[in-house]
Amino acid sequence: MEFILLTSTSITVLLVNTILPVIMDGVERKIKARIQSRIGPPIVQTLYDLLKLLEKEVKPLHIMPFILLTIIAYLSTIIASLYFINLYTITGEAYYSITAITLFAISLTSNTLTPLLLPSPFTYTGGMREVILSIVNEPAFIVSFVLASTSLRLLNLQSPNIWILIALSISLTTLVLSSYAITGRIPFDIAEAEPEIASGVLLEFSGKILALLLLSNLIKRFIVKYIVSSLILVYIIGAGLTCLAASILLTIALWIIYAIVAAILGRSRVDLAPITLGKVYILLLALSITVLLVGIYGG
Amino acid sequence: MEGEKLILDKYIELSRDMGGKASIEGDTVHIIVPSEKLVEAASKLFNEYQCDFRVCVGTDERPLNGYFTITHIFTDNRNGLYVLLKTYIEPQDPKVPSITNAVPGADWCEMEARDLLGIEFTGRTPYRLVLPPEWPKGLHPLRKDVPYNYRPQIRGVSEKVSTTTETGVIPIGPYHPALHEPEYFELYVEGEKVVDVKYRGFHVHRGIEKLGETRMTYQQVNFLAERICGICGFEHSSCYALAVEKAAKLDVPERAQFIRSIVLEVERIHSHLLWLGVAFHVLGYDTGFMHVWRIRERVMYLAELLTGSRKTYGINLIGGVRRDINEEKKQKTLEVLRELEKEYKGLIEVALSVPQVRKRASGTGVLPREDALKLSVEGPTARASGIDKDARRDLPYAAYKYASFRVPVYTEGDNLARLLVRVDELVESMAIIEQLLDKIPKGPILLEKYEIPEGRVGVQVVEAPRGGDVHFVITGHGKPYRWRVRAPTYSNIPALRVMLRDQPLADAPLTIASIDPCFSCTDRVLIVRENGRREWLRLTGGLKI
Repeated sequence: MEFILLTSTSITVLLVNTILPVIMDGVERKIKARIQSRIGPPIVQTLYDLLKLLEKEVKPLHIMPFILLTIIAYLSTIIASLYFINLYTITGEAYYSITAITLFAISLTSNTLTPLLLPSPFTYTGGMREVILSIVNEPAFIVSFVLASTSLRLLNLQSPNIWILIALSISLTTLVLSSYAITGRIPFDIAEAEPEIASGVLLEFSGKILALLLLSNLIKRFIVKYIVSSLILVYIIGAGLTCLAASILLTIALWIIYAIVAAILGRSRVDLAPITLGKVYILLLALSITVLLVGIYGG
Repeated sequence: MEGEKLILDKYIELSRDMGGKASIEGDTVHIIVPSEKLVEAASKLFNEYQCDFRVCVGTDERPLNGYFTITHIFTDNRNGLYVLLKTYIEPQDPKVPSITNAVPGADWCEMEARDLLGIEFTGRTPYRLVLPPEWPKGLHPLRKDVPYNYRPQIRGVSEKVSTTTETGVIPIGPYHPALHEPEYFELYVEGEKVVDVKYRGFHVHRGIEKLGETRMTYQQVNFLAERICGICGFEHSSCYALAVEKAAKLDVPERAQFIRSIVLEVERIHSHLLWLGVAFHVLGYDTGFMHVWRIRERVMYLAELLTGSRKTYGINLIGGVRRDINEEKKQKTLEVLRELEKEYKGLIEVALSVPQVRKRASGTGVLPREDALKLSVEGPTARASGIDKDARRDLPYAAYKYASFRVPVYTEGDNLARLLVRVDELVESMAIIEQLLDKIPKGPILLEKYEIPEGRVGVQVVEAPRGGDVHFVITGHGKPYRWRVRAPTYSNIPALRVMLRDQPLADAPLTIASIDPCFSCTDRVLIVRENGRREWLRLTGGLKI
């Protein structure tokens, strides 16, 4: 009975969390518009865009079966990842979070592969940029997630170890930074970079295929924040439905903050973004590991 | 400053040394040399006298004197002189030595004269520049015996993208998000580094010079000239009017000249703000883009207040302008300018502090001074590479001699330097308008009666937002006998090859945008595709299936 309840709750939340990114994208467009002194499109505009794309014809690609395969792999693994985060938030079981992170990493890899299958120079260039960014971001995201989880498990709120607290702050900073970079927002939208490579990775896709890809990308944006939110809130308020609701609300808040940051920056150059990020990640992670070790063995 | 007589003697002596003759009319030195001495004379003007090469003009003067002619237009910016180096060409087999070895900037204008007039240039490799590849051989539209409405039946063919196994090819254009007009750049890349560039333009050649010389009157050409460009059209109509007025030696009312200068600066402000917005968009800084275009609306309002139109003002006439500035408009203009300046300074301070804007513009798309000089580039592109030239100061026209202003010059030659030149120029333009409004004299705004004698030559450079516009006019009966237009982008595009080489691909759109290219000014044959079926190109009748 408990399993059925858990599954049905997770699926319901899954449906909500699949639609929510579409609405949040509309909110983001509205926020940007306000910052730029524009009225902007209605909040449901992204939903309208996706529905319209579903009615449009698909430009045939000679390797369509492969493309479909990678896109479906991307969408299904990302939705599965979302499902397991829901389970983690409700139960607090670590293996759910590990499964979610693993599926998320697989989904990102599928997404990175898709543009490399196409002969268009713009898509290929965008794809290569995506690969470079993934090589830098994904390990940083996973390692910082593991470090933050470990720090949280070791932290005793009644008598906190200062070293572990510092290690937690650093790993959370890295986690938030890498989660921002993974969303592909400015200044890290170099794989699309519309004025430079004519929307790069998205250029050759059309109709339903494009709609699927865009939806997957929006869910990806949601998941990276949702993982961060769940990780923190499961520890602070404990797993359960309250935690689930709070995690979704925190995800929405993070989405708004990310939208504001993206609106006030420009696009980084392809050689600058990965190098700068790489240096920052190495520094932060090394610092976080060192401090954590001091916290465990020194304190 | 050399003595005026000494300077003029220098040019007279040059003509004598070359076995030619010279005459001086106002601010223009006319030098005629035999064609075998053309290269030597051009080289001396460009390399020794350090004159600025602007453009060359091929003319079918057979109905006048039995010859074709080629006139190379130089300007002596230090002494405020136009130097026209002309040679006559035998009509049976029109050949003339090319000056490109001495003056590389003459490459395009020579090939344009070859396409449109059939003048062959010896000592260089010829290629088709303006006319499409399938255009009939021996048909040269600018010759006087070719009617303006003659339409050869030709079939349009697609030009293929180059294929190479050594490097990747990235086609930019004819349609690309970073290009707002149909042009084609082929970037050869190794990884993300551009190793070479090929350019193909003139997709939208409109044959306006032929129209101006055949179907229109002197006054009508003003309105055609203004339609050369959707951004800096007033610069073109002013340049044309000033060239005709100079040829006819008309004494245009001073108040009209003040109004021209004021509106020219309004146009510069809106153009530079438009460019800044585009540059920020290319840099991914869309918030800067939106806010710059928001404050640009104030300038569009000013344009409407002063001329009655937001764009394509239509107030220029030979002999003056059609619209006056009264006290109410003057006060309103000053008020709007004050608000604009305050908003602009605040906005630009924020925009330039965005790390990606500075990092990406800095050190990219570098055009060294030597290359800029060699290619005779114009406007902010030249001034960002350390070339201190500005026709408003060097070759004063309209009412600029009554205004005090600084010409911003940077030496880095990169995208940031070109951005900063425009940023500084905006402030100067606002100051110029304030000064001119303060000093505007009373009086008429239009010459009521005047005559334009035939066979006179007038040449004018007007400093448009992108650099010097050049209009060359030989007066005819009721209309120009010859009207040559050269927009600054025509001089600046060849420099892109230098600027794009060995640069990251990601910076290519910004570097292309950094010269503020205006392809409609540069191109002048309209191709309209319909349903992608069989296509027939006609010179003025568009495309028929």
